[in-house]
Amino acid sequence: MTEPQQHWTPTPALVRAVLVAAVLAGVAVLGRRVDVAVLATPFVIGTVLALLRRPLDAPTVRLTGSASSLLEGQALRLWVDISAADETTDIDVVAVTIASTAFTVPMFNTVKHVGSLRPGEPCRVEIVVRTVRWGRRSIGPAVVRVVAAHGLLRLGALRSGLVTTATLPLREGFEAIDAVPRAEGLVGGHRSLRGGDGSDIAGVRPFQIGDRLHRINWPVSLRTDRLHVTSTYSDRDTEVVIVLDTQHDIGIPGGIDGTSTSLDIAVRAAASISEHYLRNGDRVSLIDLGQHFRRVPAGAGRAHLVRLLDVLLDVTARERGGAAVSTALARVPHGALVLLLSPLVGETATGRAIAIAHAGRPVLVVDTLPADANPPERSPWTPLAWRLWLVERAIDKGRLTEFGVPVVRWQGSGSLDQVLRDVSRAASAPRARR
Amino acid sequence: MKRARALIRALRDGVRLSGVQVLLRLSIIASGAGAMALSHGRWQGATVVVVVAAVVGLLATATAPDSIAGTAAILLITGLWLISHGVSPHSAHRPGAAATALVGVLLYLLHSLATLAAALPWSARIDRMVLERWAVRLFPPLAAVVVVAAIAAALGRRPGSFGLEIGGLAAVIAVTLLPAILVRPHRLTSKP
Repeated sequence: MTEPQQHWTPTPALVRAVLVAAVLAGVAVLGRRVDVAVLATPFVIGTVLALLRRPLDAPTVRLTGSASSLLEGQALRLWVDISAADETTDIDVVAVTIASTAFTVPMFNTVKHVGSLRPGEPCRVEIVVRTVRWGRRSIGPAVVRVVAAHGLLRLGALRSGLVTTATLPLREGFEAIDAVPRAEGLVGGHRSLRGGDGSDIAGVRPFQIGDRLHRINWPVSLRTDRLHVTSTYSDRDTEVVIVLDTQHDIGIPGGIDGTSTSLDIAVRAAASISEHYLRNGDRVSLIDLGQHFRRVPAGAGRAHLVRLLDVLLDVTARERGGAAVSTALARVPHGALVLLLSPLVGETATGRAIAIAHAGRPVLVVDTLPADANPPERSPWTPLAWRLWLVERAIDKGRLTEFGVPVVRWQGSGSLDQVLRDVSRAASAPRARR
Repeated sequence: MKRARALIRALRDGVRLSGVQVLLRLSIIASGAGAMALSHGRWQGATVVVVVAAVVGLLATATAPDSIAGTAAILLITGLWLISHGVSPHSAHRPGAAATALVGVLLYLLHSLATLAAALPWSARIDRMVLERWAVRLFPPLAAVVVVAAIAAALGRRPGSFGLEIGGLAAVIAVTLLPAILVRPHRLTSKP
């Protein structure tokens, strides 16, 4: 894309060349000074030769990128192609600038690149940028300034189109233990609470009709004079429901190298958890507390991960939801593991977690409030108010624990292990419903 | 002035100037200083004033090559040349052909380097090809200086005539008009 109706305009250098040539030539003629005529010569010859090579056409600018999606912190190569329809177009200096955005950092600490456009040869300038925060954003436009005729003519800024990239929040690896409260389905990677064909040994018991012969434990059978079999737990899958609290965003977004907001932590955690469970063959669904219409139903496989990440890219902080979210949460399958990612601001998230737990579903709250979060100081009372709020929040967390909802701070890989063990143990224990 | 302000802002913001830009600016000062050294012959009251003004003009050109300071510096150095070698065509201090050619080369270099410095951004990765092409295009006008200086030296001092002066004035007008004709605006249409 090029801006319409561009003119090649004289630069101050052309004015200087003409002025100097005219004055010196005038002095040479009027003063009968051959030496001054000699001084004027290069200005005259240089100007005329340069203007004879002047381009008559405006070049076109095109911006392309090396990838349409990448991970946080990865580099993206951008190519700015400058070409002219007229093959004789000769441009001395092509200066390319990429308009930088908040989370697109040009590498090598330079934002401008200079090349030249030779007749018949298109000019390609490569610019490497690094995207440091998840999200869908447009990079560009590339602004190109050209100077021709040996610096005597220039064209206004030419602008290219935009390159749209998706920066996936899938940078930190996540691993969790195998334990889930209730493994359902027919096949999967988790040890269920029920016996059946599987790989995890449940114990040795007397042979029953229907047991497979290859399960017979011959050493025990010979010792006891009765047929015994090695029983196993069946391997089944589970459904993980990720509930994302996007009603508040606390903190200053600094990208992958700087500070994170609560939404950054929640989105990165959601992506990592989804990737982990989907890789293990489980089903993952997503409910956004702020945007009820962005619910992703349960699914499995690589394609589902792409779908989840696509939804996570467009997550923004907004305070909506209401009845539609309540309906979505009520439809969560009974045996599903619910992971609520929330900074626990206000009573909505706490209330939702308690409601889910009260409905008999195993729920785990992942605290996404940044450790270094601090409100901007608006008055001398701000620090005190902040401390009071933290106390209130601690009380809310205590209430959640009382209701059997564990709260754990997100710390990347392994941060859910202990809690998952506890939840699994609690799920297998006999209990009376209140 | 705008460029000077931009430079100050860039320095204040810690923008790294490219080595080429620094070299270009030093070369502007060097070529102007060389031309001045060759131009002045006698130290007079007026000469000192012109020298000081030319030095200021040179420094301003190095700082803001897109400004009018470049034009002023070149004209002041030429003025210095005229003062030093006498304004009258029958002056006893007739400059040598080599010195004249060298001053012509240095003045054109000053102009061309200032043009290049103005065309390049402050901090930029500059393709070497840009500088090579620029340098190659300097040769024809510089060669023309040497050739014209040699011709002038070979012809020696000839008495002028009224017809020759009228022709010379017409040539001056042509010199001024030709670039204006060549750069008449062409309305360019956008390419999809």
